[in-house]
Amino acid sequence: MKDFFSKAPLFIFTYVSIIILLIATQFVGELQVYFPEFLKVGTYTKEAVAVLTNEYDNTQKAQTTSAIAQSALLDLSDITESIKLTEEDLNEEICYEELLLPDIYKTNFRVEQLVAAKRGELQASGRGGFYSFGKVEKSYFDNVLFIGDSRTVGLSLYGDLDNATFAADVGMTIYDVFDRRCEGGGTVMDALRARRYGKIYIMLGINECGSGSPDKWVQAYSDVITQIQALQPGAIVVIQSIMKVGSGKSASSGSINNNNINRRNTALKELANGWNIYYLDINPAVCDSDGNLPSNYSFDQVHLYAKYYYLWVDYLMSHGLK
Amino acid sequence: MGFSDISFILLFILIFIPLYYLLPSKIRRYLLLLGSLGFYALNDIYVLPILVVNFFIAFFIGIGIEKFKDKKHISKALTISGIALQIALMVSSILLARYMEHAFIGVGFFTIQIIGYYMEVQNAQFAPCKNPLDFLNYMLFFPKVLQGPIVSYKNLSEDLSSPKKFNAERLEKGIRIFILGMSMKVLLADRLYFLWNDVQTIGFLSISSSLAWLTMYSYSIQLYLDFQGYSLMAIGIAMILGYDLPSNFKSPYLSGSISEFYRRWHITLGQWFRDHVYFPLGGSRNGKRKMFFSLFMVWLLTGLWHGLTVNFLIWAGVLFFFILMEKTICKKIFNSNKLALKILSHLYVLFIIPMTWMIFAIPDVDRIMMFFSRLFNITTYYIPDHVQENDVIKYINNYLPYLIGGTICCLPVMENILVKTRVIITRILCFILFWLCIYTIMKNGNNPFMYINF
Repeated sequence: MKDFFSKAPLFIFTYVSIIILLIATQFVGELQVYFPEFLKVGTYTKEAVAVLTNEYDNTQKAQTTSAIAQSALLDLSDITESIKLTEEDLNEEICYEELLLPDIYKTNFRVEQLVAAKRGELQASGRGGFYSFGKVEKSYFDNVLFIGDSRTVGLSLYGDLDNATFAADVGMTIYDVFDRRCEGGGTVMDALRARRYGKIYIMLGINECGSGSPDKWVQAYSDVITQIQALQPGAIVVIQSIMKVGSGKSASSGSINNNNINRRNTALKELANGWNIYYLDINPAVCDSDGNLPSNYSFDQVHLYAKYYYLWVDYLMSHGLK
Repeated sequence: MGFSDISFILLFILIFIPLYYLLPSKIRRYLLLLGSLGFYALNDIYVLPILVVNFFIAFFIGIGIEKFKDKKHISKALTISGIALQIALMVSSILLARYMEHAFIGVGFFTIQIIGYYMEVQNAQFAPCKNPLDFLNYMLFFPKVLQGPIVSYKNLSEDLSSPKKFNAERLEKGIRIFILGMSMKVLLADRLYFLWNDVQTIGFLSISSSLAWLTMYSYSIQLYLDFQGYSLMAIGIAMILGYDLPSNFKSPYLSGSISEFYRRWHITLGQWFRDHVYFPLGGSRNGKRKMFFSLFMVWLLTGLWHGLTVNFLIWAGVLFFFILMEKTICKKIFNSNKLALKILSHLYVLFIIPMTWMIFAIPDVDRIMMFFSRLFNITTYYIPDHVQENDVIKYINNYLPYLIGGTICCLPVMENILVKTRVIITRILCFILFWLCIYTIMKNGNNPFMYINF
């Protein structure tokens, strides 16, 4: 006992150190939040993408154009067909005639730019969009490119969409979409250069959901779409809403929660322009009545179990662009 | 904050070790206490008040038990109430952790060490600690608080009251052990974790049978590397600071029976249950009935100690069954010297133990059943859904290096090379491994599980 009370300084020491630590950890806690950000190796910079696309524009345009020219004859009939149909509705014969100009045939690239411009013109003049969502067949996905993160990787593995093209990678964000090597090799750039697509479906945003402001994120998203369209002027971009997470995840995780996801989805909607960028909310396909991913649909409350990918696919097929 | 966090490694190597050896040895014990408190605080500061209260209780009960050693009933009552209090604390903090954000890290290890302390004092194996600084340092000794090894006060008391002097050879050995442990955890276990996570994300009903087998063995390797890696890091850190912690694993997968496996897996826990449950209840020397009962209690308590979910009880039940079988009906087979039987018994361990790990790993019974239905390709009860028959190829392609490395680390060979062979080449190898670990940790963010990518 004596021994114990003679150690009074020890207790003062212990208490003082606990108090100091209590104060100190408030700062350490904050530091830890930012620490991983500083440590990240190989972080994406916007400049990197700019350089990438610039380089592409200047040195490889000619090469790509000739590649496009090769597949032009095949794809062009498709495009003119769809343009023709829509123009029949609008009684715009001039557009079709323009397309038949022989020198434009030589480079499909220019044709597509023209088509895109024409569409924009029509849209601007208030004569309505070209497409609406409706039921489609599986062959619809023949000319679809999916870009996305691990959820899209899952779709490629368990969605039974063998005819679609996938450029997806676990951990992909809107900021590093052009930097990453995708599942199965190649980059998004490679996929965009490989062939012409009719529709490009994107779902990104869950990984970076907690970092940065929604405004900056949507701006980055918009930049990515611009870059995609520069390479694929004829393709229609479909922005899929970020799939929500389970209520457990939403409550426990600091940054990845449905509030953040909703906020970003709302901002994403604004990017749609009604003629070559569309927004598709896929959450009705998978969420419960409270707007959460049901807990028995997912192990980690983020990814669907393999057997539930059909919900997403079915929804895409009942909401195809027509 | 674990030992493989970059902030721990930086704080420990750059600040703590130099400070520890620069200060006079009297102050070192205070620094150690400060370090331990800091370690708890960095994990969860809100646990510190509980620790302080718990310290007073344990300290005085320990002294009380000795003081009333002539009045048996009082000292016994003190011991029992102390144990009850400690168990109540453990159960309540586990239950509270489910509803709150704050968790009492390593509460299981903390609890059984205090219980062991009471029982050992009660049995007059040693005098209780009368120096609060030493007792605080024993309770909170940061290398062992997260995942053990479990160590008796008796084994640490000498070092605690008079810390060892600086010794370059010890320091090097400690560093080598730490690096071996860190490599096991960071380079292999944390990688293999992603296979396990991926398979769970896919859902057990959608994996092929061969992927189920791969997953089972991968998980078994991962669990060993993770736990052994962590234990080695703890032992290494303690050794660097001049303390000896007992080793926790002895190449368990090379065992010839399941009872042997559990003498070589998490050794300090097994010994604790042997000394504080099995022997006090009668053990194997007082007839079959007592043996049956004490073995049953050991495994019941082991199951409960691992967690308050059903799967741990099933896991412990299965192990109890096999160990009982080995000790009774099949005794002759496991004691035989015939080569064929020895080989068979090794294969039996490598067949049964990974299956028990799957029960250990999957917290809900329905999913355990799903996993085993895919493992044996039984499609009657649980119907497989969207199975990709060649999915195993992708996982073998992605994880083969880690699986091979992991298998090698399950053998004692790496320890022999990295720790016991003190030549310049192994020193260089340790150096390379250290920086490879640091690089991997930096690349993957601080905590590979917290910053998991989607």
